[in-house]
Amino acid sequence: MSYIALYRAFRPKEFSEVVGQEHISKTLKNALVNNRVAHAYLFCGPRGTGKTSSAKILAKAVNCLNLDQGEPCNECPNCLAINTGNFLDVFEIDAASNRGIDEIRDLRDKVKFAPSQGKTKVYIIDEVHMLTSEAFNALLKTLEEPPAHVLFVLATTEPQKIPLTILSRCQRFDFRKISTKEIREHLMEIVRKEGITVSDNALNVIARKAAGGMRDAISILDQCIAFAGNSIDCEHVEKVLGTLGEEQILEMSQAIVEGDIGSVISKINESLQAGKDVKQIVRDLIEYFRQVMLLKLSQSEELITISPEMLSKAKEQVHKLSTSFLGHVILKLTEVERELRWSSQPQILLEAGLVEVILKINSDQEGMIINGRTTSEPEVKEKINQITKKQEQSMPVRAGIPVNFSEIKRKWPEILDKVKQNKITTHAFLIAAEPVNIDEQGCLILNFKEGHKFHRDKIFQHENRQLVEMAIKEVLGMEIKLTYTKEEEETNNNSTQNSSALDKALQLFGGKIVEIKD
Amino acid sequence: MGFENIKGQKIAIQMLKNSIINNHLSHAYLFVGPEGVGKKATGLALAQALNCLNLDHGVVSCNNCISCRKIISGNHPDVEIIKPDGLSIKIDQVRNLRNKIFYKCYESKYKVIILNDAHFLTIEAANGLLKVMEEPPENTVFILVTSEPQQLPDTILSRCQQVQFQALSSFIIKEILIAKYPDKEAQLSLIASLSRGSLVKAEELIREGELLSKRSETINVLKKIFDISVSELAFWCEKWDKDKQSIKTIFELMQFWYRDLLVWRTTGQEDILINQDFLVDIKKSRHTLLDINNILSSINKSRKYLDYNVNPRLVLEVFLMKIKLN
Repeated sequence: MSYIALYRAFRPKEFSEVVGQEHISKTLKNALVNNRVAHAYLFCGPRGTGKTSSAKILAKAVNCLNLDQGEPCNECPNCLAINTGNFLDVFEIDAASNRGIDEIRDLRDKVKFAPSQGKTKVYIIDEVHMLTSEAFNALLKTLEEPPAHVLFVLATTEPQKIPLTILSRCQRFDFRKISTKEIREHLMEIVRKEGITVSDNALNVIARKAAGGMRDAISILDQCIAFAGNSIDCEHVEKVLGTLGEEQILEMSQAIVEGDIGSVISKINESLQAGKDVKQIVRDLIEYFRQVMLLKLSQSEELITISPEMLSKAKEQVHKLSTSFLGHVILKLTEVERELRWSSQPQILLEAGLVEVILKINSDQEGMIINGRTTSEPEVKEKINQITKKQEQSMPVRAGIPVNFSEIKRKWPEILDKVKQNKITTHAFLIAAEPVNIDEQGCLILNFKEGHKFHRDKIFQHENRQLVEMAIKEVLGMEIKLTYTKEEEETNNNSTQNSSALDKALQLFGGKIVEIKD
Repeated sequence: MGFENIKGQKIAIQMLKNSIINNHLSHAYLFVGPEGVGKKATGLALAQALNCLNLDHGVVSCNNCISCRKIISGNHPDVEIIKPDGLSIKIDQVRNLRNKIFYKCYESKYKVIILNDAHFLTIEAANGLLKVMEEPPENTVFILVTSEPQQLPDTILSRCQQVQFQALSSFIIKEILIAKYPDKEAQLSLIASLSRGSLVKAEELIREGELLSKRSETINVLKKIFDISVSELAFWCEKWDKDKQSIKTIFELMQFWYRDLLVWRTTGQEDILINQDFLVDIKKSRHTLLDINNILSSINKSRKYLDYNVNPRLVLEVFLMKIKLN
């Protein structure tokens, strides 16, 4: 006989074996015990949470000959027949491929007949969200008042696609995602029954990767067994899933935190050469930083699923990082992950994304990113020096170029901000000006709006002037002197001349001055 | 072609082989990985290994028996390959498949169903597969091949064992290419690094020599973008503007260039650069790190505009002007 996948072999056979859905199992059992089983149920919830399994158990329970406290016995002929899938009165219908009105009409015609083998005819309609709207409507009357011997169980992952008229005719049960802890425990059970040894860490990784779906978890376990045989440790799981090893994650995150762009990029390239997937790297990093954030924000370690060895190192990192930094990294990485869908060059996207994160850290400096309390100030300064030095070294040509006007223009808002931080009145004078060009001596020419002579004079007072020049130096890293356009005065003169001509005209011809606006 | 002919996918192959040897074969696999790295070939190799009549060591197919030869030539009755019909894999194809699955195998042990480009399954078709993929009849193996697993519904993903395929290292690509095109050896290492891990792409590069010349044009324009006149830029844009695809290629080439600048600036490692033959120019570039980063994200945005059907020529021109005037 050929091999049967573990998740099929370990499909729950009674309510007590369904993991993580006690609220549903209990309700159904009580209904069975008290003889209050409804005629239509709707099971909904994410993949791999036990909908179809529960439906099958319910089908057994209503047909079982020796029902015990609401649990089917799995021994009587009816139960056995349902387990092997050849019971005449349980119909498992795949609504996704029988989705038309004709199939439903056919079903409706057959519903009337009494059960041929068991007590109740059970229709399990799986993936019911795929029925066409005509098919749904054809089902309405039957679903509302079926013959006494019929039970409908509809199962779906997407209840929002089901018409309200169907929903209101069913008892709805929402299956919830299974917690990592419950998955891990169940996996342990399976591992024990199969006689396989799996390391704790490996189980953790599997359970986390499954993200709430038991079938996913068992499937991964199955895959690991296929790959590694009877003894599985973390390394095997990482290989099968293509995830990063803990060591690599730590190194990479450390490099990000330290702002060491070079080593981040070489690490990415190394991992890719070793055959890791870009998407997986992004996901692993997000998950890791999320864990670090949880460590930072919550006192209890209940939510944390990283291994003890990693935990201690993660804790070291936690002290150095601020929440806003973590938030920023996670957001940026999530953005990268989303963009990956559209990009044909995932690697470049990831590299650029991480460089952006690091540049952001560098520009935000101490207060924001690194907790002032735990990292001493000189250390920070040294780091910043290092970084700027590195950048200077790496762009030798740049330093030699004379002042680049377009850059000043682009950075102008930043310079304004800087000035505002230092002295708000100076900022108020400066906003009346805009940079227009650079003259031969390398001075920045400012143009003041008409009638803002006062502002201009104020800016060119010694103290204010120095402040602005300082700000430019801080933002651009260049020393630039200020000057202003002479045009303004000339235009002023012109306008006075103009106005005097106007006066003369008025004198000569008389009349009123009319302003024409269009 | 058996497993032995597939290069650079050690883990994936090892896993499949172990599954066969340990009798742990899953009924549904999802082969995930970039285009052109050997996913489809592996699917066929798995089909051979399952159905070969003179199997050696339990997994090594002979490539010689009637079954192997039928699979290689694509007319084995029990190996079904489903490809997108037009733009998608439609529900009728899936319905047909469902009917066939429940027949017994005609001549061999295993029925193997390979769905190429599974991300092109329509929603209806994907849902139609769910039930049969969860509990197929005995000795049936589904192989879904895709480069974009995130486009498949969760419910499909959770029913498959995912097998991760990797981008090939440029070393392996070079090795394969040398065996195939010994006369072009001089170009091959460049092509291998330009192909970014996809063998299919590498061969495309060899076939269309045009791309290489396009690359040097692009780089030549980019490296002196501050010095050339606007009209010259417009001239190049006009030259490159043949269709949308060619503009996309140009953007990709530009992306490589700026990525190299970024990598060089930050790591100073030569061996991970893509355009290694332009090393001198890479070293000479005067962009700041921030600029490069902005340009890269701007390339990304431009590529998205192309997908939104913005006039490709305009996208290219606006992009180049932006770099120039910045």
